[in-house]
Amino acid sequence: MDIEELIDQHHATLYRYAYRLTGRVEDAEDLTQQVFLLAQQKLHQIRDPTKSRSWLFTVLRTCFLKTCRKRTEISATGMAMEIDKIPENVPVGDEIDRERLQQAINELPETFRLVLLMYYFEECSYKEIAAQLEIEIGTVMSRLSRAKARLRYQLIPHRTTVWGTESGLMSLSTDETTLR
Amino acid sequence: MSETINCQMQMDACRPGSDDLFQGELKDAAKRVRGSAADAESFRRSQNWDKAIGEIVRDGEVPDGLASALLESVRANKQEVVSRDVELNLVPQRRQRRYVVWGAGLLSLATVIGLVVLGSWRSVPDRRLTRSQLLASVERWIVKPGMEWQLLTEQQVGQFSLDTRINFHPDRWQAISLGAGNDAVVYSDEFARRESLYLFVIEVGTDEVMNLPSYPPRTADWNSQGWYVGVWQRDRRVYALAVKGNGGREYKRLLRPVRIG
Repeated sequence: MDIEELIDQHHATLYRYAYRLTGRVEDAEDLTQQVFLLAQQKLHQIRDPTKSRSWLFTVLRTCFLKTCRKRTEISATGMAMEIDKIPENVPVGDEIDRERLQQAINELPETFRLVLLMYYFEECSYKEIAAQLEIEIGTVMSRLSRAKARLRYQLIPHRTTVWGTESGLMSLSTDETTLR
Repeated sequence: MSETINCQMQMDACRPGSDDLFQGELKDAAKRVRGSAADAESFRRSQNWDKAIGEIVRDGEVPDGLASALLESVRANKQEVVSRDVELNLVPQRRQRRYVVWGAGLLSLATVIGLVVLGSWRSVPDRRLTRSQLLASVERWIVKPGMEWQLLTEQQVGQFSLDTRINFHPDRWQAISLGAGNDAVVYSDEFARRESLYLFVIEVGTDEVMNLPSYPPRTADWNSQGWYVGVWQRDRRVYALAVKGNGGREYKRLLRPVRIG
């Protein structure tokens, strides 16, 4: 497998992933280019061509984290969230505001964003995410849950009913010492 | 961490359409879903929501020409690596053969002197310029820029070889020499960005293929002492955009927001 084949087969997927991670067309283009230039140098690492896609995803994540010079500052305002129960008439498909979705993703701290996108974009299991990022399963679950709660909060009209259990308020904090 | 949050986290960890719920770590959530119709319904809705979000996230427009731009950049990169490798491989050979080279050199020198004396020889400058030579020349120039600026009049702008894909409106120019006798023009914008932005334009021959991208790179190729430089080639012109400061963001700001390709 050569680099040109890789570009041909995976450039669109890589770009979409890069766009979800960075939230900007220009940054996504840069990141995609960076991934393929790096892939060109490390091509020998692909022993099984069927795994080239996941290998490229790994390169993409590494490049993304390297380019994140500083963590996203999270304003305290709006970070305390009420975990709404998923309403019966939850928006689906075209009813979901795509721009708002991307904006909500952009507002997440990088580490939360990465876990969320590994779940939604790569369709990784929590175990795979933990193994890839070399973090504990509990950390994956907490980041994923909080990130998903944030999306729900942003995209689903609020209701007074809280989640079917008794959870109440949950804060999206980058301090995970209490979550492990 | 309360049991309630634990259950929520466990449910959120399940991928739609998977059997994740039956994994050992998620047994609390599984028990809850099995034991309560309301929780089962809530879990089902949550999975439907995740399915819809996943589909949107994995979808999205891809810029036209992205694949060809990527191909171009990896080809340019490959050429650069090959050139570097060839240069490195030449070093030991030169050392091994230095006596032979010296001998041959002396003979050649004698011949050349003879030809010069006879006036039958004229120097033809090698106008071939490599990418690394170009970057080195640009670096040398911006560290010590020439001062022979000429004003660029409005009538002249159309005649000059600017690339419209960068957001740059120069007001002065000067002719310079870059590298191996290559003629070049450097543009600047005295009024707006005094000594922090230069655009170099080098006319090259049709046979000079430097394997540069055909568009201004979104990320600078090189940076030194706060300067960020990107190089590209369009037809018979090679461009080098040198912008100072702000971690390369100033460089990026000058690129018009067009999609690559």
